[in-house]
Amino acid sequence: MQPVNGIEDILSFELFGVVIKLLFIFLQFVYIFYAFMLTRQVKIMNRSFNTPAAPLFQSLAFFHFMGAFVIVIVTILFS
Amino acid sequence: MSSFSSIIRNPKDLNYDGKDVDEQIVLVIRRSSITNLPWMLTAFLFAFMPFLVNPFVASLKVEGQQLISPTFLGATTLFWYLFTFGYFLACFLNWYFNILLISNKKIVDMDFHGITYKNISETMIDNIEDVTSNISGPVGTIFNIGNVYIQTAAEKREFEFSDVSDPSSIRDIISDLVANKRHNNHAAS
Repeated sequence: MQPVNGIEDILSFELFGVVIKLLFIFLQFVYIFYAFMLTRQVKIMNRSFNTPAAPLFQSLAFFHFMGAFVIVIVTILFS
Repeated sequence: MSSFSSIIRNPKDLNYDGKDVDEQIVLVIRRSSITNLPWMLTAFLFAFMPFLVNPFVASLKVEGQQLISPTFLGATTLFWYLFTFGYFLACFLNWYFNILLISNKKIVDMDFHGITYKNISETMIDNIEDVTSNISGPVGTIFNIGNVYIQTAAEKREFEFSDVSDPSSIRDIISDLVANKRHNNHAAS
């Protein structure tokens, strides 16, 4: 094992990429929680004030939530 | 589509939680459509940001290698567009569901803020004591946008609804409703 020579070694090119990627994945998990909360809020909104557009809003919130999941998977597998 | 207007008169296909069988919705009021302009512009700018930022990020190189790989940049761009869509959806829903609903029996004020706050207050039409409307500022004067205040005798003293289109006609409709209700109550007793 090679000794660590300095800050240049610690902040190496590969390590920088891994840290950025991990931060991005963490952010995406936070966003999944936000997207889930949005679907719950839409459900409450539709129950409180029911309009013909209720199924549209519910679908948009659901696809937004699923989209957040898909992007995490894409990030983990392909980048 | 009438359910997307900022003022809906006598809607037939709208319902709210707690509506009585013999109750009819007379008016549904939202903030004026013009108030959506700031968040719409923000979402529009968000949609354009990758076109400005991505070429710069792609050009960043360390020892001849790209700092951010193209696949990772693609994933961040996808995420950015999802975020922009989420922002657009949340702002639109915030406008769509923040309503003042007036029926032949009640006034219901629904407030939703962000994704975790909900406040619904209602009062009977009989409790209304005073209705005031005002228009202030150049934007309000140009677009006929203002506030409506409904003073009640109930525990919640005042209902305030901001940035509505044509506040004077809304005040007039509510006043007429209150007058009719009082007239009917007086005739019945």
